[in-house]
Amino acid sequence: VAATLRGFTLTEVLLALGLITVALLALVGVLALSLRSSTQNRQATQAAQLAQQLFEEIRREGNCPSATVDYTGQPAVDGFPPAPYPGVQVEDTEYRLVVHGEPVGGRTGLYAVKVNVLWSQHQGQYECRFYQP
Amino acid sequence: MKRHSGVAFLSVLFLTLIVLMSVAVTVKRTLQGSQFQVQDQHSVAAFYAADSGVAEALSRWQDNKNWAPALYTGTLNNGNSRFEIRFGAAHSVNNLEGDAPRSSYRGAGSVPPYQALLVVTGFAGSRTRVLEVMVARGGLFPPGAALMTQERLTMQGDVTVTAVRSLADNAPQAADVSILNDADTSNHASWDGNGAINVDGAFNSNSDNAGAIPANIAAANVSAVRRSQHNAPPRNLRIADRVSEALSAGYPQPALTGPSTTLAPGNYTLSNPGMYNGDLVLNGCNLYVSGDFRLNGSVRGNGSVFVTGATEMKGSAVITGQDNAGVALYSAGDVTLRGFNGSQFLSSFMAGAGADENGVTYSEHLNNFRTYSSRMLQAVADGMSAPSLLGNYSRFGNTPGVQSGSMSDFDAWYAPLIADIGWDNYNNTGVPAIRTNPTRRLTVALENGAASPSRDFLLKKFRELRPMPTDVTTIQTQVMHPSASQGLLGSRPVSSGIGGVDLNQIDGFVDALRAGADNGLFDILNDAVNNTTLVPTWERQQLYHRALSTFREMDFDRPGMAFFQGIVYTEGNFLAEDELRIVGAMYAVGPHSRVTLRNGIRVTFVPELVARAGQALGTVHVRQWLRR
Repeated sequence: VAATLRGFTLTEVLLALGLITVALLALVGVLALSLRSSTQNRQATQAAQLAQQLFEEIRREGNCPSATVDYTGQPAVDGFPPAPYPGVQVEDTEYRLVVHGEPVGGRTGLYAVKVNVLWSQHQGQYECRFYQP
Repeated sequence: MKRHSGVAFLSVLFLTLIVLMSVAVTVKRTLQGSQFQVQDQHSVAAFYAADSGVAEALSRWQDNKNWAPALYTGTLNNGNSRFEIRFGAAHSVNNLEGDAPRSSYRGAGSVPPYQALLVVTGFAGSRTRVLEVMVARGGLFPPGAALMTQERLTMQGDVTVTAVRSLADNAPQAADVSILNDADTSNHASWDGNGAINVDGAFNSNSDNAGAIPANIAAANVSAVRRSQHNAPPRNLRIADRVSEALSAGYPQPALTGPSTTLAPGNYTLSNPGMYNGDLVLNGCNLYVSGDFRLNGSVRGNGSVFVTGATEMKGSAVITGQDNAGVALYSAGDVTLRGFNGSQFLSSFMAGAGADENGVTYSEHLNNFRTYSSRMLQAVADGMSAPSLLGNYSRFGNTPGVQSGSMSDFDAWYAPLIADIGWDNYNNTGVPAIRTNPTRRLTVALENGAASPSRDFLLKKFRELRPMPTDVTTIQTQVMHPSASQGLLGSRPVSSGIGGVDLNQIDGFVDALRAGADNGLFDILNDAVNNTTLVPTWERQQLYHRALSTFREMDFDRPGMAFFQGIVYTEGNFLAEDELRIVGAMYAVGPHSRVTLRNGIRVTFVPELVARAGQALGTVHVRQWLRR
């Protein structure tokens, strides 16, 4: 066989395959990580939106609790906590809201509402104060 | 051929490089995405931190309208976010207590009176959010609604609804009646057809039904009848919660004793107080009542009353021409306000009183009182503005005698009403001397009559009016006295110059005059009109406006009419009956609340009074978001 028709050596092939495999594995791993991260970001954004939705509903309704109360899933009383409490499913993710409401001591008409949004293995904590004379 | 194998190797390397670059780009984008997401979270947290700062400032202002620290900070979310509020020329400006515009970084005079510019910066992580709002006082109640009922309005007899801008400014305003019932049924309002209905505004219904407002109301003197409205009630005021909180706070329980109880500034509670036979005067306080609250008397002054049960009281004999005076009554149960048929009683009383020393019957004096007072008010209404009145000097300063040409029309009708004129046909008015000063003569008749709650009520009212001294010479002597300290207004606040007078001084002065033994409302008007004292023009104009405003709210055709000055908010039913004038507004907005107006009810809607109602409630609120 003429030298001009000689193929790749086994070493060359293995080296090339190795390089490409490493690169592709890295790419696949990163893509998976990116996909997971993107999902988590989307879920975290969704959780923030749910908290925002709840805060805006409280602002609209103006019915903060007059005593310190933890709402961990029981039915809403007099419209508090408002929707989307106690939870909501968005796409394929289940979000659960835990709400803590309390008057701010020594302040007239000032209430603190803390919302813990839980989903999968994650959670987001949000707090807002409301003035409701 | 070496060249060929090199190309293959380079190709593999190049391919690998591309893949690795893709990995790098993906990693970078993923990291950026996470970073953006974290920043987004921080942005949300910073926003709500700033929003919380706004709430905090409103709460602070609720307790102290002068709150304006150089720097105020607060933390939230376990210290992960915080807000900052700064006051100064380049930041927030508090003008809640100011009666003139203030400048801010937004420009000269950019913060109107009784408002505040609030700038709050929220921080979370690396993100900041700035919120900017204009805060104002008042705002709990819908503007323009003089009367609001959830389910039904029942009217029997005369009903009049008017509005003035404020008690110091009688510019006419719209005064709407609103029925919130949106059921597609007829007759959400009714009127028995006795007397007349006059509404200086629209009759609004939330119902689509054409018969919701019946035809006899639509045909009455009403500016407009509208259906399919979307009026909303004031928001829930949580009366029971507030009373509960007040009881827990251990506020003092005042003893309601004697014919009148005055509560000093502060917070008070009462538990199941039962019936109190007397008047309650609020002097800038909040009273929280658990249970029913029934008074065989009136509530007046300046303050708020919260009642978890039913509320019942009478109208007061007196009315105050002060803008900041008014009771805010918040009741979770039914509210009943009663006047009493004073005009009928007065007619009957005077008929039984016979005649005076000149043989003129008191019935005639009563008629004269009505006639002269109506003419006087008409003269004022016809254009006798304060400047023209104040511009004429020495009305009573001339030698007693007919001074036609030096007396205005106003004087012509005014003087015989309150002064004993010593000659007939005073200023060509045709009034004989013995028929002048019906105010004094009626007061004397009441003083000489047998005591009774009705007589006492009317006597209180006529004493508030106070006739002038018994002859023109005395008027001249008193008004023209060279020393202000000895003139008619001996206790008046004399300022050092125009603009140097505190409005509170004027209010206190008016109160002092009314409480005094020698003067009264007519006197105030007289003093305001006469430029013969040391009181500067500006001050006298204030007096004039306040006295005149009070005058206009008094129905001289019905001198027995009682007053309730303030706001009534109830989650139950509301009943007003028997010659009662409500200066303020009424809201019966529980799920099934009904309003009944019976036997001569007049409502004067005062937007400013409504806006400032309820010092214990949200008298500060966000008027406008400037940056959000």
